Amino acid sequence: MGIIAENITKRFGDFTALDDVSLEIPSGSLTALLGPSGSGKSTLLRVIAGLEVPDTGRVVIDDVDRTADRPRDRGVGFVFQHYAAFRHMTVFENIAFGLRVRKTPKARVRERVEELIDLVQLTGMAKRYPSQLSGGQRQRMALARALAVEPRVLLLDEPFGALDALVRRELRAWLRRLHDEVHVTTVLVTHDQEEAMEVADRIAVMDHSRIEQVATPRNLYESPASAFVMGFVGPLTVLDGQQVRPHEIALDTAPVDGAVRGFVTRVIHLGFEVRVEIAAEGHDDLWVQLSRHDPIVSALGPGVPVWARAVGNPVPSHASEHDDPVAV
Amino acid sequence: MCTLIAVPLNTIFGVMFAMLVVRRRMRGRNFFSLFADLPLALSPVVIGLSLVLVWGIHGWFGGWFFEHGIRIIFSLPGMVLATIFVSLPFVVREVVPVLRAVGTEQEEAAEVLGASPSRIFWRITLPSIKWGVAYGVILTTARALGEYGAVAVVSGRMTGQTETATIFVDSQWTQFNEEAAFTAALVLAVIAVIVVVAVNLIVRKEDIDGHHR
Ligand SMILES: Nc1ncnc2c1ncn2[C@@H]1O[C@H](COP(=O)(O)OP(=O)(O)OP(=O)(O)O)[C@@H](O)[C@H]1O
Ligand SMILES: [Mg+2]
Repeated sequence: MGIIAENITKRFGDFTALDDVSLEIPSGSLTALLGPSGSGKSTLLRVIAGLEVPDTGRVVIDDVDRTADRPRDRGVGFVFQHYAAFRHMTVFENIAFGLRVRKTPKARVRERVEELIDLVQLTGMAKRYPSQLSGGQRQRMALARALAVEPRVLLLDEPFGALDALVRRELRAWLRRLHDEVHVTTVLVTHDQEEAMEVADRIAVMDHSRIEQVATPRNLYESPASAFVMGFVGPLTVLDGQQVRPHEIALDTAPVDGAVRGFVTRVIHLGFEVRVEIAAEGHDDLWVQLSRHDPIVSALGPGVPVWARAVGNPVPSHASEHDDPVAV
Repeated sequence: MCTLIAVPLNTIFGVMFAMLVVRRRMRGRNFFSLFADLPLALSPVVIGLSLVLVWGIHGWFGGWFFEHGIRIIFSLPGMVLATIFVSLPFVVREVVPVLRAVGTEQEEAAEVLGASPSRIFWRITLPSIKWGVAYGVILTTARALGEYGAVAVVSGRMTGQTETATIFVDSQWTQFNEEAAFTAALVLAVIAVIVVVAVNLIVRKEDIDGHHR
């Protein structure tokens, strides 16, 4: 097992940031920690790295109990949300830092740094300072710096959080390829479900200082363990008092037994997806997701009467005991 | 002379003090940062007098030193002490906000990469606060050179022995020795101008480097 965090509790004053959290991360996997802001993702990652000391619990990395070890002895690589680039050092010096600390011979440092600069596609930029790089380049430098010392595990705290959508998308794909090449056990913190789904093999969903569910992206989407998870990994709407996915609702323009009657208020064309907003008695947020090829689309417009019924699985019943039903 | 000794000491104290206040999660650190500002609020003459009280022959510590043949008040150590005390806040006040602004991420990154605390300080923390320190040192120098009140009290003002430049200016002036007084004053003024220019250069360099914000 790559990383085991067991019964971790961490309090800041009166506030419990991690409430008896346990998580296992298989070696060589890329696991995402997904959750809304303030749910405790960064705190858990920092506990694993040793940057925070938990009040209770243990951290085991590659079968060695690391709970009492300082960060520098744990063999982890850490990438911070805001890069934490050493601003007074060049790209080369940044990446070489960890190697020099370990008294690596000069020639070996040069060789390794050059190899990494190529790996993260910063060839020719070795002599630049961080202030002369773009956000995406800085983030890749930070990754190279963390990888330089060949860490047992790589911990990434919202590494793409500060970047624009296009660059994020590119770096995600790049990170996935990189992981397939180097196979280092990786934990990626993110609050973006699309990012988690796209990059990770496994996703741990966090909410309110706890882990709600750990599953593959597919299982998470298909059988969410709670209303919170269901809402967090995809859009939700409420039909007949049930939470359902908006694409799992069938619409008809003629009466259907057991369907909810309403009127179309708006039809929104989002390229492939067509979103239909419906006003119906007792429903204040009902909308349906159709594909543009659905034959019914051409019949829909404001004021058209429709009958809506659920065709997918509603939220699993055991989910109702959780407090926060709707997505953030 | 006083300045030569006081400035390096103050730089070290000031940086240590600032690190303590900003980086340590210790109890009473607010009290500590108040303590650093104390000399700014107190009249230098009061500081001088309190130093005499503590370090004088009949003072709390002064007696012990006197018995061992070390004279503090009315000699160089006392003057250095007074200068240190009066100018201590400048380094602290410059470095504290810079330390806060730089944050802990770079230090944490270095820590995870395996750097020892001393290496982190010399290779990461110090380079990123160096302009704050430089600025503080210059202000300290200016203040140390110009200090009159506290030093006048502890020095005993023995001409040619325990005299600082400002005290020299004052005593020459009161003795109607205008030429000497003006010359010395001019020297001090020139140093002050140099200091101000240096400060401006640093501020501009900072902007270019983008080291802050
Ligand atoms: N050093 C600290 N002192 C006090 N409270 C803290 C500290 N660090 C974190 N917290 C609190 O713990 C909670 C969880 O913080 P954490 O940074 O782990 O959240 P997160 O899930 O990473 O959120 P985000 O997505 O916004 O980064 C927050 O409510 C935060 O205010
Ligand atoms: Mg966070």
